Amino acid sequence: MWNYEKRLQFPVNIKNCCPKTASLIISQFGGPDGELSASMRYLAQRYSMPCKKIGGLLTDIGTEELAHMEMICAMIYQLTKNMTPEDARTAGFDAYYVDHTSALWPTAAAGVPFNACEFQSKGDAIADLTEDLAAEQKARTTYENLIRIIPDPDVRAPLQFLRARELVHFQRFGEALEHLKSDLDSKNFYFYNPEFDKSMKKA
Amino acid sequence: MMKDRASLLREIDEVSFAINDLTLYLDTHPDCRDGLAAFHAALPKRESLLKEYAASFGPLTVDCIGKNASPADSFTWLDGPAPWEGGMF
Repeated sequence: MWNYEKRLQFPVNIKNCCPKTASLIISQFGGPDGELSASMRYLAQRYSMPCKKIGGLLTDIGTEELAHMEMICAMIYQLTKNMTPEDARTAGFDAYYVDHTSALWPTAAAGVPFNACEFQSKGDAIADLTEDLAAEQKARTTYENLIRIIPDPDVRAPLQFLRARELVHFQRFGEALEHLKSDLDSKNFYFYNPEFDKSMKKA
Repeated sequence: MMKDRASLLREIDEVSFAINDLTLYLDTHPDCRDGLAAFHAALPKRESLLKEYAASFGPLTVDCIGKNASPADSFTWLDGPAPWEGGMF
């Protein structure tokens, strides 16, 4: 169950219309390392996570990712809500405009639509957690690339907040992985398939 | 003195962020006394700020509807700007 809270996790108040910027940050909505993909990844993985505490962490981080998706969508919306068809045409937003006007639709910056193949839910605790660690690093890189090429301070501030959250999530997933490894059979020198280890503690 | 909408919302954002971040920290450090103390200090602060906001500017959550200054004669949940409108300042 989720409850909606009528505010953004971090304020988004963009004054200047810029469809070009919108066409870039949309990758963090529907792109391969975007917030939709992050949220679906963690919220899908948690059911089969054999360690209850890590399932809880996946719920909490997956929930925060939904709030990040909302921030990114708010940014795209504010960057395009007052655009003219001429703005869309000259800013390279015309192809998106033809299909979606100024509505929100999840796609990567290069035009590849959102696809569930962008994340994995493997049912193996080590496989899933190492995927999550990589995902946070890839999202951090994407935010850094965006921050390098976008000059508007109104856009940069929320992007910097989101970048910092990737670092924190990576840290928490790293701690979860260490915790999981300490619970493995000590004779299991290679970290694999803890789901099948029936003696695994449910705590 | 009554706070304006923007500064009250900023305070709510700050204390709520502290709670979000502490939640993730406590998920992996459930016995940290400093973390628990900070978490339990922030919770009532957020609760009272949400109540203060609801009384002047409307509810931020469904649970806040009853915290409006007086019982409304119409449904107040959808009043006020949507978060993505940037009108929250």
